[in-house]
Amino acid sequence: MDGLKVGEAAARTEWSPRMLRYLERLGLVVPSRTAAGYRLYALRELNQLRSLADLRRRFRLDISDLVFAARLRREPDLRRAVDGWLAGADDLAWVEWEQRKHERLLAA
Amino acid sequence: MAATKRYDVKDLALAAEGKRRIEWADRQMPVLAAIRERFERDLPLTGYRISACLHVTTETANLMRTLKAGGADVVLCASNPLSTQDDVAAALVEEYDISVFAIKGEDHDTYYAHIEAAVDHKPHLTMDDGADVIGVLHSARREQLGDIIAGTEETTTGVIRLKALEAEGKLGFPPSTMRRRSTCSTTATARASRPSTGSSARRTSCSPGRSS
Repeated sequence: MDGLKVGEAAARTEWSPRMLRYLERLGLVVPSRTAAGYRLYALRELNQLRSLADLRRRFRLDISDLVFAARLRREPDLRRAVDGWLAGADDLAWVEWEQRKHERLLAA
Repeated sequence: MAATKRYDVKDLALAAEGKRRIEWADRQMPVLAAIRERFERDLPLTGYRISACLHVTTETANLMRTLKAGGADVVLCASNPLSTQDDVAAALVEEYDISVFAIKGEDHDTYYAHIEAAVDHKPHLTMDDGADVIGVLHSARREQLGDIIAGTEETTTGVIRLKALEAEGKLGFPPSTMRRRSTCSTTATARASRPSTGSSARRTSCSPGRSS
């Protein structure tokens, strides 16, 4: 099998043709093109579509979650910044606890 | 007398990861490592029981190892339940045979039960980061004050509390205030943003258990 056109690929997976075009625009599942410019979904892309549907179901993900996860893989600076912010939120919890402890100490 | 229960940590299975991280931190703490070598040779703390209430982090772990190397019988509890590193607590118990009472996220009652466990150790020396152990000793455990030689206090707020006790004539032993040490102030100002950073730097430059 060389590949399926967008309507055929949609029929074989759980996606609509419109969603397949959307996923392509987002860079998540990118089919090749025929010489005439038609999208061609090969076995690899069909497997990607099926596993993506499974991933969304299992973890209740939005497409935007996947797009962001892909950005984290592509952009190390973004990943570091997000990690830092999440760690900072953890830090704030202990700092707040520390502040309350010292307030109690001063009030004693 | 040791505490009746030797430890209360989240999971001893975390010990291997804790040991790896403690050893990594130790490689960044050469002054403390040098002190530990001297302590192993001279055993200056033999016969002393120490109750420490500090952030349970890799850096504190190396301080506890150093005190133990000096011959001290050490018990550690957390000065803040949200900064406790559970793998480090596990490693101190499993790999270094040091009693630890600390679980990240422990509730109010458990937190204070752990401080009580540290006080149950009947310390000769105390180490505080927020006057928890000193606070218990000067309230519910005043009968133990006579056994205590000295203690350290890390925080300015804790020092204010100690000064208040002193003014009331109730301070039971001489505290050493870590913030007054110039090396401590320098490292704290330059590097401290988390307990792991500033405290570790200070611990490489401040001798534990000395009164000022």
